[in-house]
Amino acid sequence: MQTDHANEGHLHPLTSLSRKIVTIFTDLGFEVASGPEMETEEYNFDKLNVPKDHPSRDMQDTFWIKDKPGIVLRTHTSPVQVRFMENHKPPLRIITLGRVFRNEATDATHEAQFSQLEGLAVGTDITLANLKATLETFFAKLFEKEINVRFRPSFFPFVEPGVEVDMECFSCSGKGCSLCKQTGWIEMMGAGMVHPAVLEAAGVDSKTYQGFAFGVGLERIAMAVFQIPDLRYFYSGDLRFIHQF
Amino acid sequence: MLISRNILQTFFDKPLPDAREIARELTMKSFEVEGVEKVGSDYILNVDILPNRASDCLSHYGVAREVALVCALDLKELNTSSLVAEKDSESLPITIEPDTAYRFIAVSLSELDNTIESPEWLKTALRALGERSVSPIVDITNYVMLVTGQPLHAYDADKLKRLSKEAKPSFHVGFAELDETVRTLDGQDHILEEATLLIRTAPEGEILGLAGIKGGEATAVDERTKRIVLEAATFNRTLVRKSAQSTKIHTSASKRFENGIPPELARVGIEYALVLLKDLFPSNVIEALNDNYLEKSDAFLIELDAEHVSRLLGISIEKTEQVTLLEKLGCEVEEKGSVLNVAPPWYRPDLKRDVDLVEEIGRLSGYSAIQAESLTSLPLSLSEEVKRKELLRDVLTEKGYSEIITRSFREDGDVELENPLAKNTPFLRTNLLGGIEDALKFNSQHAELLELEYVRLFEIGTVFTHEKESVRLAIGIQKTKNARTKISLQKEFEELRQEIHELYQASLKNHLSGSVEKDGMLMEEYTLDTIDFSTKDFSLADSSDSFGTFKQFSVYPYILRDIAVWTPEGTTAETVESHIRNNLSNELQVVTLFDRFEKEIEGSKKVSYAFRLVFQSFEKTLSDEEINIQMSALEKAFSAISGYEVR
Repeated sequence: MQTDHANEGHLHPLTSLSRKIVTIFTDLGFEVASGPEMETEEYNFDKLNVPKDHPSRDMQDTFWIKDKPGIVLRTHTSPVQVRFMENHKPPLRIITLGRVFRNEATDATHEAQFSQLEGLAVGTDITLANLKATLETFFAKLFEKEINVRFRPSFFPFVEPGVEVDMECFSCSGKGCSLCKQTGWIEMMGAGMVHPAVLEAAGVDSKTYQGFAFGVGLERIAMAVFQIPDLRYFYSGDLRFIHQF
Repeated sequence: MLISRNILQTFFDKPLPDAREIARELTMKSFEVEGVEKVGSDYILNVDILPNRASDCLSHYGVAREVALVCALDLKELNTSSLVAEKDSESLPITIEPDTAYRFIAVSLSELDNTIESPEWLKTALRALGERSVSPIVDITNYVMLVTGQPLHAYDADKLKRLSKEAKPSFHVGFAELDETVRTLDGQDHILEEATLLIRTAPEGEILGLAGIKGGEATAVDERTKRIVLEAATFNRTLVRKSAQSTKIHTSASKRFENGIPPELARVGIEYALVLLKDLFPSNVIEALNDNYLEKSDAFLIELDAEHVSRLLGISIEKTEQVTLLEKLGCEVEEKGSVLNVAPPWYRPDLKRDVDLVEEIGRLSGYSAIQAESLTSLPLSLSEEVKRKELLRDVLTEKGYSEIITRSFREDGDVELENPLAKNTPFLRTNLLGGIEDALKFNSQHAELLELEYVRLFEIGTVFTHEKESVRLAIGIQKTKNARTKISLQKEFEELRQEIHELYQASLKNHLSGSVEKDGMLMEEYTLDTIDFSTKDFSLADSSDSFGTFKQFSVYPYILRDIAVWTPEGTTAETVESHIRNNLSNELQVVTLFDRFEKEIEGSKKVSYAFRLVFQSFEKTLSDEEINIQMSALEKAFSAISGYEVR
């Protein structure tokens, strides 16, 4: 007969996913770093090559704190890059998982708060080719199959070159299906080579060191991995959802 | 930015590839084309221009340059009439306050006729790009901006003269004073803040418009306009941005100025407009021209180490190839050993550092050439700190607690947002208990469906108080109407704390930050920042498992029925359950055995089983009648089995 205590609790799917991500990146030599969710404008923007009064600030709609000028809810986990580099000498490899905030209307694929996975590798010889291999390894381990990655030109102020990363559709292996809108590719994240201005702002010699960085919504990965159609389930606190994982 | 394939075609002698092909090439080598739409005989590309390319590519000619590069086609020069660089400051005086603008060109024209309709080609082009045709003069200024990226403004010259004591047009770029007002072209009045960028007459100081944003009504061209002054300026991008923000007027012009357009473009815009005006009004006369160019930007050189390109991209690109690509972009390149001295073309102000050139070389030679190359191996094991914290989650789930993650925004708190998304949740949470309580109540409503007697939840998350941001753990338990077992909630928490104490040698009680006890509900919250998570002996649940996939659950309410049945000795619960499942529809979602006992009835041993049944449809709200019919059928089926009797 069923007893109540026989019910085991369930981890949130974002936790299960985070654990797997941490395991994958630990094997690749990345350590886990973290930082505050409430940030200064300086760390959230200026030190990341997003100057005041520049249209690139409009790329991330920002929540400001009342009566605290210059304080924001971090719009990305990238400030952790700067904070970590200020306190650690390269070579370094880190990932960050944490909550971020954007002042955007919510729907099935947008939340005003979501989680981000950020990666950073800095050394004397880190290249875009290393980024490609790192992401291919990451996706292969996550989806348990070989997955190709392609880069397209894009713009994020804190990287140069900046790229948009597409992964080959895990569902149809690039043949084209409804999930990838018949393109064979799924847009996953922004990435690129760390902008020398960002290295300099963090006190790293940009003549000697270079590195890659990437950032992706954790929910976006989770929606692909668990085939979840609506982002809002993650924050619903609904056990009909959580007990499935 | 909407881009018309037909307009692009005018810049090429050879036929362009079809719109989808252009979209593909641009997406892989320049910027993302989000969609292609057929409009009449034209195809409109929706190109996503990000701030790095807004200086040159919020324009058809700028995108045409990219098309020429990625489709390997020869681009024609823009058809402009070259003007003699006059500086007639006598009939068209222009004054500029320091740093408000870098260039201001004004041309006065007469013998125009704004009563005619715009030519069909112009109306069609504007319509395809989602713009309204207003009048030939206004249409031409809009079209010039869409083609060249340079915003233009046309003033009615006679109205300008009427504002001036000397009866001649004059321009002064400067700032507003607090609470000055301006009536813009659309008839709206705006009360201005200090430092709003304005164009005025000089010396009278009559306001002519919001510089770089929108013109004023007083000098607007209308159908009686015969003479105009055409303005092409380069305003300070930061000041235009601030003015647009303070007036809350964001226009196609202000967007371009904010992103920074080169002063050279002002001349291109004027000269292109003059060609179009001459076509439409062949007898028009240029009365005067004043080109006030304060600050000619010096040509500057970027030093690019050719080896740095390969060092960043991880592919080898020959120096000669790099030079070829840069020259195709319009750069002037001088080789000095392995160093290239590169002068970017005037229309690419975004090219400032060597890495900007690396990106250009990388994208044009094709990122697909980059072969994945693994990082050097750097063995690392999972940090103890991470593992120990994760262990807490394992302990809690093992005890039946499920993890929730809830939103940071709440109705009340210590820290308030300046610009909340929802008016009813303007605060950041000061604790996790509110989220836990909401979820306990919500999930209690589904207790039978979830087969839970008690809802047990926990959350680990960040909270914000006056003092600081900190990480907390909240646990909560709620008795449900489905509860048959009686337990002490306090005792359960005590045992849980004890277990955690043994694991970490840390007493949660010392870190208690909040606790709530209500009818059948108990919640506690602890501050985790200060807990020492060191523990000697532990193992973390394996995270190498494959992931399951989500199944949509029904959003309709469910209906409960209990059924108890006598069965002959030796009958198993599984047998009874399979009878239940076989005799009911697939609306039966959950079957829970909640009671079993044996009894001698009339000399033979009987076993009683009691089940709770949960019915739920994916299509509709079920009615009691529908379920009653199903239950009668089940009871009938049981009665037909020898030795069974519904109690």
